[in-house]
Amino acid sequence: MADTVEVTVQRYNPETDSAPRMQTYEVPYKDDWVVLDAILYIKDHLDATLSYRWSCRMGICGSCGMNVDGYPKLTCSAHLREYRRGFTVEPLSNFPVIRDLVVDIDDFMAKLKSVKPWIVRELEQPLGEGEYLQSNNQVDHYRQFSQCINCMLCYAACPVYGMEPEFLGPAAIALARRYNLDSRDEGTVERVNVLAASEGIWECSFVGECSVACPKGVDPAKAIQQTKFDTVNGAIMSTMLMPFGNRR
Amino acid sequence: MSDAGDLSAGPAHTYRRQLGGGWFLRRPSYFLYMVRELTVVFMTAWLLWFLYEVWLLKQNAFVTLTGNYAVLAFSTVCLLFTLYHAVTFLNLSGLILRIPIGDRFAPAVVVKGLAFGGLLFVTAAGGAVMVYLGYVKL
Repeated sequence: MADTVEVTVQRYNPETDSAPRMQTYEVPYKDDWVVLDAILYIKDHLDATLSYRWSCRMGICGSCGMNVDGYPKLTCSAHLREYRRGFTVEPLSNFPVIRDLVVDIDDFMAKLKSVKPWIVRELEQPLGEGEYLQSNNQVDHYRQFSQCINCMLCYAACPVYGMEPEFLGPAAIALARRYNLDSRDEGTVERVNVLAASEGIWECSFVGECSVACPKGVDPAKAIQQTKFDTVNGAIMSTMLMPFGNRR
Repeated sequence: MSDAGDLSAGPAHTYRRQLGGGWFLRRPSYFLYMVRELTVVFMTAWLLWFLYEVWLLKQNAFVTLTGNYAVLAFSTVCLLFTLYHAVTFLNLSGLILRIPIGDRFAPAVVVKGLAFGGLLFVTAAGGAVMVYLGYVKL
């Protein structure tokens, strides 16, 4: 008899179910498989009605984030050999479930857009003047935060977001920080109202699980605390120390 | 699935799970976070006690309870929680504070070392002053 592993999956059909239910499948165990392979096997061979998101299968697109045994993981990077005794797959915590393992990401997308995660320039220089040059040190300032792939695992790990869904959240703040630290960017003032709002950085009480959950080594908790420090520092400089401060 | 939840009306017809009151028991890291938050209660309690003693002193009704075992136990517990709070707070200093050195920043471990060194220095200096003034006898 072939080696197998038990996979328990959360199912939810909005047309027939009033609440999610769990369903268990027997899946072949292969040492080089990841959790996503097991889910793909269920879809292809056992139950074609199972719904989930996935795309690149190599930890880049951030689509296949799910809770594996209660912890948010990219299922394409979670090896089956770490769950040899069987495991549970649920949709990411803290998000509304649309169907089975698919969650509604509209709230996250809106929050992401609100921090303007792109380079903002007061005046664009003509193309003929060439690119905006940066030194390696300048890139190092924001490099870590630029690794974010918007997989939302940090939101699923954050109990603050679970309790206060209006919280801007770790990834959005980390990306805002990434652009605020970019020497080419001039959008800090445009982002500060969103970041420093009550739903922004001050909502975070530093649980720190966002940084633990991140599959790309980004440290959103660090981004949030640094932004808190810079915001207070900036406020002191621009108000109390006038006219010597940096009021704009 | 242990989460309570409800079906929300609307076109998406989604299921929103609630976090639930016992969320901090699900992971050790969540629990330690709650312990860190709880330290503030003990710190506040000790400060209120201290203010009460100061008020008694002002009323000339001060009766020292430093020899009382209950006060000693209370102060010890508060001290432990305060130290836990201080250590977790100062551990973050290297993460948060960015001290510019040229076009780079001081390494996190240096910032953290300075923070802990500062705490030890202030504690030692405070103790030395109290010994010097005769409030504490060695």
